[in-house]
Amino acid sequence: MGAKYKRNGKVAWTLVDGEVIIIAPDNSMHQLNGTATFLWTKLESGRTPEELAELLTSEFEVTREEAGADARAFLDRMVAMNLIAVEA
Amino acid sequence: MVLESFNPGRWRRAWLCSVKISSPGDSAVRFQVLTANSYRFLLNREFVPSQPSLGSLVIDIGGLSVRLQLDSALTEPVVSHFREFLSEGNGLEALVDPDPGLTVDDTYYEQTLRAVTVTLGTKRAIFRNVVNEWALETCLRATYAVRLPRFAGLLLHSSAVVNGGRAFVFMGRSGAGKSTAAGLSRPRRILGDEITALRLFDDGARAYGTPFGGDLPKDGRNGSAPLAGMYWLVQSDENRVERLETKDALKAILPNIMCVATEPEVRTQVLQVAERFAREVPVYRLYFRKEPQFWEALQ
Repeated sequence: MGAKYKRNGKVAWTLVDGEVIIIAPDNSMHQLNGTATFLWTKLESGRTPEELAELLTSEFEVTREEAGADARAFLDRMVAMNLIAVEA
Repeated sequence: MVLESFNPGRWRRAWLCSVKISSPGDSAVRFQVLTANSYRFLLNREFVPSQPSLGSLVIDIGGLSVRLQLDSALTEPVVSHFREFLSEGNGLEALVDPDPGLTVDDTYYEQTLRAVTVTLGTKRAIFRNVVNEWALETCLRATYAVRLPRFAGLLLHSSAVVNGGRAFVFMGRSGAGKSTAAGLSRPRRILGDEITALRLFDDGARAYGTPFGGDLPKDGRNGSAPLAGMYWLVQSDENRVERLETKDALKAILPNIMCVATEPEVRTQVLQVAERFAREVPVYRLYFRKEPQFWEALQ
C-alpha cells in the first residue's frame, strides 16, 4: 500500500459553481478545475494515489495509466503547495 | 492546469501598503512612512507613560464598538485621530498596554504587526507596544479585520461612493483605480477611498467608512449606506458593467479582504462571509474610462 494523502486541515475551502476555491495556510488563494475538484472532494479521509486513480477511471473516460499519472501529478502539486498532506 | 492561483499574497501586500500619517486637523502636513523599518523607528521613539491613570473611550466602526482602556497620556491624540468614530456604550474591551502579566482567556487571534501585538478574545483584547495613535490604528485595523467576519462583515481594500442613497464599492488590484474612481465621482459623497467595512444584515448589506488609510478628503468619514453593489475595476476605453457569477464574484472579493488569518477558524470564517457576499450582493466587473461619465454605466 502506498502512502495516504488527505487535505491539509489548516486550509479553508468551499465548493462554488462546481469548483473548489481554497485559502491556503499562507493565505494565498487557489481555484481547482473540475477534475481536481472531483479528487479534492474525495479526500475527506486519507486516500492512496491508487485509490484516487481508481476513482478517476470510474468517473471519467480515461485509461488506468492516464488516471494514475493524473492522480500523482495532482497530489505532487497539491503537496508542494501545502494544500494536501501525507497522512502520518 | 488543475490549479490556478489568483493574486497570491495579495493580503500581505494589503497590510504592507504604506502608512499615511497626517497631523490631525491639518491635511496639508502629510507625509508617508514608506517602509516597515521607518515605521518601527517612529514607534520606538521614547514614550514615557504617565502614572497609571486610565482613560476610557469607545470607538465604533462598521457598527461594532471597541471600548479602549488606555493611558490617559494617549487619550487626547487618540480622540483627535478617531474623533469621527467616537461613540458610547459597550463593546469589545480593549486594554492598551496593561500589566505584562495580563492575558486573554479565550484567545483566538494573536499577531505582531510592525511593532505592535494584537491579542483577541471574544470579550477582551490586549494591544501591546502602542506608543501613539498610529500604532493604535494598526491594532484597530487588525481587530476589525478579524472581528468583522464574526458579525457577517468584512474589512475590504476598496473605495466606496454614495449615489442615490446607496453605496457603490470599488475594488481591484493595486493601481486598478479605486481612488481614481472615487475621486471622479465627486460631488457624490465618498465614504472611503482605501478601506471600507461591509456588513450583511437580514434586510440587506451596508457599507461603512473607516478611519483607516486613504488620501482623499472625506465627507464625514463615519458614514454608511445600503450597499448597491460591488465593482471589480478594469480600466478600459469604454464604460460598461458585467454581472459576475457567484464563483467569479468570490474570486473578485477574496483578494481585497484585509485579513491575515493566523488560525484556520478565522480563515474559514472569512471565506464563509465572503461567499455570502458573493451570493447575496450583486458583484460586477466595471470596465471604465478615467472620466466622470463612467457613472452612466452604473445608473
